Amino acid sequence: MTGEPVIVFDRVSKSYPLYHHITGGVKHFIFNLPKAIRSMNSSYEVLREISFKVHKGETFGIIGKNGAGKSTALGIMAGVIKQSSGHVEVRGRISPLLALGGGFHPELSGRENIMLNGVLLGLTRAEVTARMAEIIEFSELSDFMDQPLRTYSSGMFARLGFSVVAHLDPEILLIDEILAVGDIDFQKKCFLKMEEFKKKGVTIVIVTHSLGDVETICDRAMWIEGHEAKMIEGPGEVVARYKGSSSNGAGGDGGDGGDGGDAGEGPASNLFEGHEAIDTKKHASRLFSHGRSRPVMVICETVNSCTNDCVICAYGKMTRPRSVMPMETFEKFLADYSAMGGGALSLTPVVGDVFLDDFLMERIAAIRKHELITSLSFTTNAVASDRLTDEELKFVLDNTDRVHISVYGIDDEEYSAMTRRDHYKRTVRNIKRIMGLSADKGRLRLGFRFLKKRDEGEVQAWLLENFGALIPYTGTNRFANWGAAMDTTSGLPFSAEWLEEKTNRSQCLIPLVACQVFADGGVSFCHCDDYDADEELSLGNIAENTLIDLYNSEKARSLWDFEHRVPDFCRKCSFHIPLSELPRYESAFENPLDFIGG
Amino acid sequence: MHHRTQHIIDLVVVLTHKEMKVRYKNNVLGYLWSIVHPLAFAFVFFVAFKVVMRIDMENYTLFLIAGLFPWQWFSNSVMAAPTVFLNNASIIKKVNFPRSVVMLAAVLQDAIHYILSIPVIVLFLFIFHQRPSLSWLWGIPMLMAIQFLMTYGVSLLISSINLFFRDLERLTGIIITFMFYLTPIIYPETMIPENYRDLINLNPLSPLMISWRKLFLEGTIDPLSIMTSFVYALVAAAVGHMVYKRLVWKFAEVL
Repeated sequence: MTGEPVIVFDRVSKSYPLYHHITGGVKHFIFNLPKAIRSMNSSYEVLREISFKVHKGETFGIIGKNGAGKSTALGIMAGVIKQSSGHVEVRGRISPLLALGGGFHPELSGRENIMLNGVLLGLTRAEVTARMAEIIEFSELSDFMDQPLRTYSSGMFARLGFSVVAHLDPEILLIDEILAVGDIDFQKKCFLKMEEFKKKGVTIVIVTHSLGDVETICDRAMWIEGHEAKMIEGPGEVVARYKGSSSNGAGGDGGDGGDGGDAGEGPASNLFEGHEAIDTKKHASRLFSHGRSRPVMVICETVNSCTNDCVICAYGKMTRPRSVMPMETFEKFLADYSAMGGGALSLTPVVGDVFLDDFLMERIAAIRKHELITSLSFTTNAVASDRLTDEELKFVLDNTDRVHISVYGIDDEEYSAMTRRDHYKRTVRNIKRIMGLSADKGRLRLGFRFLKKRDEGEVQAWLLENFGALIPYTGTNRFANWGAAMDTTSGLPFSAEWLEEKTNRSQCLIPLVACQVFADGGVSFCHCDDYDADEELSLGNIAENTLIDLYNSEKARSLWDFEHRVPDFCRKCSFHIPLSELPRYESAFENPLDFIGG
Repeated sequence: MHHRTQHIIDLVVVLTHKEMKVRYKNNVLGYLWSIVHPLAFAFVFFVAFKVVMRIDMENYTLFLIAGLFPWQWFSNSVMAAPTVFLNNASIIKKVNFPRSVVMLAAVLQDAIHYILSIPVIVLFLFIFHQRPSLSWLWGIPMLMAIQFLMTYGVSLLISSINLFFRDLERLTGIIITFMFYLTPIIYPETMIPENYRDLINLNPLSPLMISWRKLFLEGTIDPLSIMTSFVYALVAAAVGHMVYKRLVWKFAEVL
């Protein structure tokens, strides 16, 4: 704090007009005219009379919940946002560290992107050229420099981004939550570079959720809460008070250890902050592992081909290659899942059937070695279960806590119209066999997907006739639109209907219950109808990063940020459940299987 | 050169390069494809007006091409304008640089593409036994400068306002279509009924497009048309820049 002040905020306030009434379009504006006009004068306060100074050579951390105004403060420093009142002074060249992918273009090569990024961040072309070799060396990506960026993983993106910034000779470096990306080695390298900057007298301002980072690298920290600067002190004091006050600390020992002790002592990185509907204290043990956020359970797609081609399924629209998850990837997944505390695991593919997985036995044997994985379930159409011998099938059933069988009709005509395959008799036969081989029949569930209108009596008669017993079941003849992939204007056979298309505007609660791992190791933010592993919901690949890192990544954070836009994929999703309805679905925390089906 | 000036020049260069690269991707036929577009239009109008409606004009094909190519530049830039800032949201929200360079680069990219398409016009001239005139040497740069100013101004205006009224994006397409048919591109201004003919100069694009065609087909430069279009271009640039200046500080908030 010996240096002169280089950033001065003097009673800075920032209010945003409520633009969404305007950006909603002219129609929205006109139809809601009275409200819209009122809103033109109404505003939302993000920062209230904030004053602080950052001195030359200091590393200054800013912490606070989502929506507290941290990023706005950073935006004001960077000069991209103008304060509503108060006085701001910034002395020195500002270098913002762009978030993942910002200022990059997927079609350009690594080298061209370095140029683009460098120039955007304030260097001339000659200056970038002079540093090119150094930047490439630092990034350790020299082999990929002439490949287009779209072939890079998210980890590689992050490396490239940091490498450019590291060579800008910044005077003031602004970092908005970037340290959570990249592999461990590269993260270390980033920290070393930051240490180097500090020694050189570079002023650094970091906005982060990682309290561990604040304690280790910051000289001082500011805690913003309720749009005001609540406390500006040494990092230790601020972090302690912050933890004490918020629900953050509750997650501190969420995961129950086991062999996952190396997940890091880094205190809370809470994705769910700012979402009042989520009672993080009550569900701490399920939503946190070593202070980091996690979903209640994980669904892993080990195979994405199917015996059927249902009229209600986006299977035919999938452009991903049909594949089986390599055992290597699966082992990595299991290790990652255990490391984050484990829990329930489902092997239900987004599209596909688990009995087409050639490694099913091996996978179940592998899962058994992981004590922290507490339950296993899957949903199947049972068609391909006859590929297994009695012994194999028994092994599968004995080790599965919930087998959910989807039945696509209770007569031949209905079944064929639905699945466009002729497997009705085979299905009935296979379900009978599964029942016969199940030691605990209470683990079976049937889920009927009807095209015809069926009443309870009909279904029960069918069950008794074929299996001589009633199996717990659910049934529907209304179907989801797979994130608007299906053409819901064209009707379905018989009396089946599409669920009405929604226009979702709010954060959905499903990602809280489960995230999805795809056959290629890709991770999707949500267990939903993301049949084609949409880029928008993709968090990265477990080959590059650990599952919990991906779930706590910048990308996940932006998807969880309720002020952020609703992803295109989710806008019309007919499965969407607003987070505000969480209280009605709270049982999903205790029993996620009943929530997801199987 | 002053570092800041150099930096802005470099920004434009790098961003234009990006736009070019993205436009032509890895596509060998990329250039050809974007020539095909105005040519296809020319073909459609040729069939509709020459073959079917029998417009009484010699060398109607050449006439179409001389008008459609410069129009294509204007319309490409303006049609893309609404999303130019939106597409660059991630950098605009983080980095403080003059946002107008993004638009400058976008229009420049279309301008370069237009220059690359001039040989096609020359080719058609030769096919119809005509040849380029010496006056192109000063005519083309002059008209390009005017059209650049005009296109940049209109694009900047639309792009800035679209951030606040997103419906403008759809409106732009409709307005461009109107403008196209109200500008003497597929018909000569002489065919407009006498009592409406003066109105054509109220359309800011008319004098410019007429100037281009005169230059390409006759090698002549009409000072009045050029002065009129220059004044329109100045007004467009001034209005565009003024609106942009008024709104630019809010860009990062609404993106």
